[in-house]
Amino acid sequence: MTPTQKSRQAWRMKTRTSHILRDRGSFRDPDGYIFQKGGETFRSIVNPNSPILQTKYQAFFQAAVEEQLLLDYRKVPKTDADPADAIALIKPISLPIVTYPYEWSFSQLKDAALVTLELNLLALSHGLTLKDATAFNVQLYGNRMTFIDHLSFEPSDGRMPWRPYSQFCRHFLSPLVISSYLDIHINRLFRVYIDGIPEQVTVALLPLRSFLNPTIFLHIFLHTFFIKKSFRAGTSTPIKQTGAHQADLLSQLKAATSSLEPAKQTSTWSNYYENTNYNELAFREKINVVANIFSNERFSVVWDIGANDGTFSRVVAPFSDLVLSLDLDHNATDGNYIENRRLGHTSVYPLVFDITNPSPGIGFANSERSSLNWRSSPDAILLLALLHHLCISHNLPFSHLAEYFHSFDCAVVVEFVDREDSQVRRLCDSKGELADWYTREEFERCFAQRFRITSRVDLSDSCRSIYLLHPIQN
Amino acid sequence: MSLLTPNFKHRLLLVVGASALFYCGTAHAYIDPGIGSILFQSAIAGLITLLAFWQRLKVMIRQFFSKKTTVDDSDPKESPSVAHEDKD
Repeated sequence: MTPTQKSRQAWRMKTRTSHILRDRGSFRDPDGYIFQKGGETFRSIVNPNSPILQTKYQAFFQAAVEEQLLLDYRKVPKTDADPADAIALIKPISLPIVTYPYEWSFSQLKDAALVTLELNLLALSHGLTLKDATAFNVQLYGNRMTFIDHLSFEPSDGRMPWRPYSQFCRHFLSPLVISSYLDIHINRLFRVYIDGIPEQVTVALLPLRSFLNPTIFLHIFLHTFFIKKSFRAGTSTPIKQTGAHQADLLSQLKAATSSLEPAKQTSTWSNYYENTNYNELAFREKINVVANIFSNERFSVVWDIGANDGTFSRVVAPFSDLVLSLDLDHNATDGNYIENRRLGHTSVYPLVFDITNPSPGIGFANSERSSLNWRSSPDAILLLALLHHLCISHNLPFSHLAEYFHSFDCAVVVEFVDREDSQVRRLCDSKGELADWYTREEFERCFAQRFRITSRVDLSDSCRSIYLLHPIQN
Repeated sequence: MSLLTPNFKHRLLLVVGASALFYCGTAHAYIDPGIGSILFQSAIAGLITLLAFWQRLKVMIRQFFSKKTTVDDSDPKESPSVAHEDKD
């Protein structure tokens, strides 16, 4: 077991006790914070004037939950075992997994932006407004984006300025606009810029033609110009209310956000299942084999790594509580999210994930936003048509892969593709390397050192086999 | 296998490097960078009101001529990305 796995297990054990463990990323809001106790998540409220505690705003919170804009919650009585500084407590619905903007596709970030704006518009009709508009306040829950911060509201007369405007531009508008004009992978920049993409970076990245768009010219170019100007002036000006309405600004931002579409890019993986080298029969057989394994041995949390458009995630979903449908391709992940919404799948969570460079711990003390394997612990890992890419394209030896997957201490369902397969040959040819070590014997030898090979099914009319592996305890 | 195109990568490196220089150049650590955003909103307040007025006028004119009730497509329960898909 790696040191990370050990400390994660120790943390999980702690969260199950009656100890109060304050969430490491919950420190930016002075009005309250998230903590865990007895394996459950609570939000402590420190400010007695928080709108959520006031009777006159209850209609808003009820409406926001009913419209599925805000995560459902219930008020719970405070006991002596709870934090001393808390005035009241709420218990939000537990999220199956916490996800971050750098793991979202274009449509997920766009929906998160629209949920933020919709919620703020609803709040304004009840005499409230948002005090911040960070993308980290929105989470993927089921198959939709939902706002999760119940303390992000403050009373307002609805007049401009809208305080979170700059943050909204950094967290939502900038990455969406860059994704529209340049490259859909821009969400990854959130890993570097935890408080959103700075205005100057956005202006420098965008092509000149983008400024012909009035929305971009106004909210990004002119906005950045003013920020720079006030920074140079070096003086702080008291906030002056204007006659304009926040609702007008928000409606405009909403219309602008709705009209954004991702840059047209053909990715390697977006049409993967249309270009496979095995026939319909072998594909059906593969679905049956995978469904059989998962129906016989029910796993609560499944990581489908290299999930592409989520076809196999949806095959195993009926037999699991949660499937993380992970792929490095934004187009495939985006299609996966849209398809799940269309089909009404709520237990498949499509996320952008690069196994050769997974989400690390970032922010203060590298623990404000934790790594994916800190946030989720799989009971089974599904690796279909992935291993040969990792071995041949990334030169990852079988021993490294066996060690990595063994560290999760869970079952692994892996597809091995023989080197005689036309796709594997293509990979070797394009790389100009023979990768002699990539053989079935070597694969079985390395994995057998750490796993028990429970079953092996060879798919007919193809060079492919599906293995079910169980970890050997150290 | 890099996901970012080489052209974009170079540009990104340049911009990130240049922005780092920008941040080190001026040390206004005590000035809230959000103040520029507030000032900007004061400057564009009139424009925002005008645009909102124009939008409402457009809807009214459209309604008058079409004599149909417009359906608000901003149903928050329907994700815009999905709503768009369904229309195709």
